[in-house]
Amino acid sequence: MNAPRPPSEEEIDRLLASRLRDTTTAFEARWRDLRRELRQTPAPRRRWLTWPVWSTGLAAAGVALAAVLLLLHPWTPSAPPPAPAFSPVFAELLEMDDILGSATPLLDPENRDALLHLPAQPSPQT
Amino acid sequence: MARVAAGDDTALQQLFDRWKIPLLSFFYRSLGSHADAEDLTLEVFVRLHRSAADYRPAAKFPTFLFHIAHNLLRNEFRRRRRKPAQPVAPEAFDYIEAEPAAGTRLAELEEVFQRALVRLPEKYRAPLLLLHQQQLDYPDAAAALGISENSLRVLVHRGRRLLKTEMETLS
Repeated sequence: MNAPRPPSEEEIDRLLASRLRDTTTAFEARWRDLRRELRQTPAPRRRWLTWPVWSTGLAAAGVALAAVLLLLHPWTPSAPPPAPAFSPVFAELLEMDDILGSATPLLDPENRDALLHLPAQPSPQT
Repeated sequence: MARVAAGDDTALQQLFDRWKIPLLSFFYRSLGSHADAEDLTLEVFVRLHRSAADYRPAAKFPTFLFHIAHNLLRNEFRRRRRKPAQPVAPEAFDYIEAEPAAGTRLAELEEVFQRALVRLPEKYRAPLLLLHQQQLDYPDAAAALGISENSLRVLVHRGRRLLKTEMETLS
């Protein structure tokens, strides 16, 4: 019994290059059905918002927003610092000072001086 | 493709008429199942219809087409378990009518060839089919497969050697 002849390079080439000759009628019928379905659902429109488009757009929008915020930022001198908060007792003293500052002296200046120079300790009664 | 995107039904039919046999042949040689080859061929046309609006002729159309076909094939390999082969008779191939004498010898080799081809890893089989069966040149085949031309040359060289060894083993 002869061993089968191994395939030559040329035969392998021709087998690799071979194609089917025709399609089946069942396949053509399936295609007609499919084509009818595709006709009823038109090809989708071009998708503009593919990921490279929307990611680039998002980045550009972010940069634009930052630029607008920088432009609109009020570059005025900073506001004066808020008035210091005094303790309640000190605030009361300041308020009294404001009131008394405008008050009319009760005594004439010479009497006031005399009063101011009175000795602190009264002299004992003799 | 622009006409398909515009809803021209006859353009899709023309694409189908032009490419149905190349696609069927590519899928059959890859899977060894005529029924699966028909399913995937129809799926290619569904995808073409869906992507028509986004198609930009940066590459030749066959490169684009077989890029889709190869992706579908890889998905199919991931999805399916090994199915029994559904071989097609040698009379269904074009080598029979071209040269009857040589065709007889090829018909004898057909079964062994198809079994050996299906056993070949996909990374070796697809380059061989794109170059020989689909007659893509090296740059186009490399683009369709998403690999460099140098890698393609290595895969073709090794794939051919493996295929011949496998055929001799199965004979």
